[in-house]
Amino acid sequence: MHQFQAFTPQAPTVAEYAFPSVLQFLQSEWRRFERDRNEWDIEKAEMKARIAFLEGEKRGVDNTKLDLMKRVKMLEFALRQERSKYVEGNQGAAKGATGSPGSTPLCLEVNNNSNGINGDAMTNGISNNKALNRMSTYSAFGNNMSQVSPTSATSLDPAGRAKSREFLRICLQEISYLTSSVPQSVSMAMPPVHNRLSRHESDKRVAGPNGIRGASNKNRHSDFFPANVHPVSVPPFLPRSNSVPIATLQTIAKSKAAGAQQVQESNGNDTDVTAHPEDDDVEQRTLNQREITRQLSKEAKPSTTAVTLGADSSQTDDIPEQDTAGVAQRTIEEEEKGPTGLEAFQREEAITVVHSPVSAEQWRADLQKAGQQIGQKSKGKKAEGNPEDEAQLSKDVQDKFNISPERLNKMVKEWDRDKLKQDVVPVKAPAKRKSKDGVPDELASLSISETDLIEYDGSVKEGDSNADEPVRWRPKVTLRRHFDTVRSIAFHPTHKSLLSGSEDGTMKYWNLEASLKESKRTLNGDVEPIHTYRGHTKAITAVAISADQDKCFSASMDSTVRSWKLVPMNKEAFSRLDPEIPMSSFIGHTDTVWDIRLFPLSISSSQLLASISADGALKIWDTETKGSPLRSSWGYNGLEPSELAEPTEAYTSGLAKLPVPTGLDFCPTDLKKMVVSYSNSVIKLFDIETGKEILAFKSNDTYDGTAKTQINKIVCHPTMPVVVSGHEDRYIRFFDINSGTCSFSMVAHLDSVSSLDIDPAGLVLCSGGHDASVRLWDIASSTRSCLQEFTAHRRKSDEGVTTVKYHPTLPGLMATGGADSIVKVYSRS
Amino acid sequence: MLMEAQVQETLKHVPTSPTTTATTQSDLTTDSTGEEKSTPSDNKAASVSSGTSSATGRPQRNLPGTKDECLYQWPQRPLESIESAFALREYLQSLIRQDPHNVDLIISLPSGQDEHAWLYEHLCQICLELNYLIVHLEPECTPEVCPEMRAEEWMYYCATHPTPRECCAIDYLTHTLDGASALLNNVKFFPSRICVPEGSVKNFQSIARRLYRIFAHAYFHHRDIFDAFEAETSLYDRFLKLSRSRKLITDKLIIIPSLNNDDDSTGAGARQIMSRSRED
Repeated sequence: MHQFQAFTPQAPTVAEYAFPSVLQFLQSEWRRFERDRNEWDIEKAEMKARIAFLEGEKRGVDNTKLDLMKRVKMLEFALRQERSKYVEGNQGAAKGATGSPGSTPLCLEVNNNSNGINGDAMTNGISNNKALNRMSTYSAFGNNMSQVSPTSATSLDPAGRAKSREFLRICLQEISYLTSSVPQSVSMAMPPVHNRLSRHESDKRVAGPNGIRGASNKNRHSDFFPANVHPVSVPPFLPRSNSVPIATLQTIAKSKAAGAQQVQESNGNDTDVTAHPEDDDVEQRTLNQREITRQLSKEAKPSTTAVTLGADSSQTDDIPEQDTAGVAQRTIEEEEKGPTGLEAFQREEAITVVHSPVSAEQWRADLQKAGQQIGQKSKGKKAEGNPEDEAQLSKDVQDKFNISPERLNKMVKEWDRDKLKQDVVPVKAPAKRKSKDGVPDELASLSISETDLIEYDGSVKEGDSNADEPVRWRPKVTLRRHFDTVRSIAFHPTHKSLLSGSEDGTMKYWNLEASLKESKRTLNGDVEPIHTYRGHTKAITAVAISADQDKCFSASMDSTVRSWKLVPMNKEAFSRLDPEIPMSSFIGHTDTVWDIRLFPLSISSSQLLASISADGALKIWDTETKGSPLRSSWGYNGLEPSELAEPTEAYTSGLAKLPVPTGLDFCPTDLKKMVVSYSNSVIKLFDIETGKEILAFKSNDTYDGTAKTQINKIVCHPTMPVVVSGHEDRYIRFFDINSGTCSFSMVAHLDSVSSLDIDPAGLVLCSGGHDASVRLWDIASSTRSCLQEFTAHRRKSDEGVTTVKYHPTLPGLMATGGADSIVKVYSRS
Repeated sequence: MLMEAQVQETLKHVPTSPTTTATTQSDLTTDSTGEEKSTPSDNKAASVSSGTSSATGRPQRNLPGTKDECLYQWPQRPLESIESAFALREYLQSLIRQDPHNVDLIISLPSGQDEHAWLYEHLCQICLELNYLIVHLEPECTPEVCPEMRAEEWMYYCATHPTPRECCAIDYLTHTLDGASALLNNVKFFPSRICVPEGSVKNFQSIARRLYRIFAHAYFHHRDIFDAFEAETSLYDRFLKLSRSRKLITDKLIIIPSLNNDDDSTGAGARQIMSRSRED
């Protein structure tokens, strides 16, 4: 400072600008600039993040929109199919008892019930020609309820058809007159969908597992689904009904959601209908018919279970209980002719065009209206509806109508085209008033369909809810007791407890009951494991729980698989050691056991366990047998004759040189098979019993001969014949089990994909990657859009998230484990 | 976070070169016909040689399907180049994997690191490895054989309970270890891995004191197991040197006589008349 002051006087020009002050000024300026720049940088980063977020959101919304459109299209399609079915009834009615006067009130009732979507049109007394025709089908249906005999349906002639059409027209005029006098509120209260729903149910019984019906109907709907609607080939009926003759995941899930909507609608409307005092006649009738439905639902069960076996049957059985009204007679009819579904198909084929098709546009308008009404009513009832039921139901719908994704896309395209035409089409129904000009209509229909649908299945499908009220996974409990990377997690199948296996060689069992209840206790909650399983001498790689046997299993780098007694949930943290906890160890592998998987079903408390090891072998163990639990063992090429005997040294060493298994899963859709991925990125399908290779998937597209492109994890879809693979080179791919072809492929993470799981409903895929993020994918949509992405764990030695798991039965519970030694449990908010 | 990950991503993938995995995996996969191409020793050689050439090329992770001999076969990285939040732990573990018996190197504080954070990682690692000691002890150290927790003439009460209890040895060992892991993983005491709050440092002493008893019990009652384990891991040696250099355990509490002849002062405090020590 001193020198500077001494220096200033000599500066000739600027006395007032002393050097230090200039310096100071410059410094302060510079500092200010730096500060500003920092701020700008921060702001810029924020903006960038915001932009990215918004872009993502937009994409999500777009996808949702597309999905919903598809769903709407599908429902429309389903409805049309139903309607065409009524034509059969129509025929029967015409034959059986022409012009029975007593049938008219019944017709009215049915109309109200089943045609509620068009209810507004009717109440307003608008009966254009199309509506007339449409109604005629329904009234005929009402007629046939009492009189139709199954045999009458088989004999058809054009004359009779014309006659019946005439009759129906008369009927309809009567109806439309009567309906117009029904107070608005009644028709509002009429459930628009639950007849649709129940019709689906009954229809399903006829259609059985194959989709011929859908195909045979194509002529009739040619206006709506032109030319290239082709029958989908019917794959063999698999042991579990879940193995839908699939088209793809996407469509099924779509219909699941759609089904969910229906269930909820019917739930919501059941009460409305019965409680409505205004029209005693209608109410009485409805009640009666519900009675019948109840009775029938019991009858219906066998045929239902024919389609849905196992655990699913119980779910489907619930559905008829919710159904009401019109189905009853329908069901009788269908029951009678149910076994001879072919007959019905033939009959249908004979019919060409009986009712003049309704324009898609009008449909949409009607749907909107109906949707609005329902939406208003069922707002408070959102929560109800078991997702399982819904899933099953929607699957059935999908199943029955055999709507392939192409067809759905077609429908959506069709819809778009219709939208363009809209200005030309004369406006008839008042419901369409708001849709007069193109853009607002699109918005209107969109907003309605979205909000409606979201309300219904928001609890089922996160994707939709993102658009409306975000349903997101939030961390609820953090479990930190491990000292090293958590490698594997297993939830108890029914309890709120989980098992975590870590590279520190221990496995810990956690009771989450209490900690999940406490809403405040989130990340800082200190949960003590109820037990620490010690026994492995090296890192644990995989864990599994068998609730039936009250056992858990762990695989380790020490080449063993061990079974343990599952400690009771109420065990004290620091109690005496139970000497019976370690049960047995399965010794046979000669290298790190990388993964284990329990057979999805346990038959009379004997359950199979499959393990894969770096020694190249896959081994199947019987978890109950004392003595030698090993059932079979095979390598890359499947079970070879030489392996039947005791494997030789040479063989074992040869095995180790072949590609090594990296992931495995049983196929829940075909319990005789399992898939195994190998280090050369090939997925193979094996027969569990024989150990023979059935199929090798074309899954090594990007395999470059190094482990950098290997498959890290594979999972089977719970209800579809689909395998999902997570690759080291960041891909997630979807494969069809039957053909082994890749149906979808995407780069899913910034770093390799380490773990995958599919939620029990089969709609969302959760993936964890070494980029430390967890991502949820909407596998129901064709685009597989990302529903949610969050950083779950911190990276340690190039590993991030190492395991993700959904609770197998309790919805809204998920857990992830990471390289940061932490297990996080999430719940859906 | 996302952007950060992206940066890491690019960093990691730029210098990609044919590495360990490349060679070993191609060995594994190309000869599906049964043709023999390499022996395990070849694999190992390849991994060692390529290890140096690709310091950042290969991701440091054990992929599913990795064989035993290839586990953790990545090169030792200098501490400064480890970017993760667990840099110290990774560094420590790689040191131990490299040579568990090079105790002096393992316990010496890396330059520029926080003393307590280093100590914390060490204690975590010791707890981790003590699990395996207990696994070895479990078949032999049953409640029948060791109904009380003893080490030489001492008997210990288990302090993990609200009131200290007389647990049998194996229970004491597991409870102590569980208790230590609970303490070390407690975010209130150890919220960060970079520095340790002043108030939490005193916990190290109580943890170390208790962990010492595990060693002591193993030494006095299951000597063969202790020796075998020690020969494999040098865990006690590491623990002892660490505790003494950081003054975690006072000399008079050290009852295991010196394992190596070069250190005589160890047994000093061990000769005490039988008495009972109550946990604090």
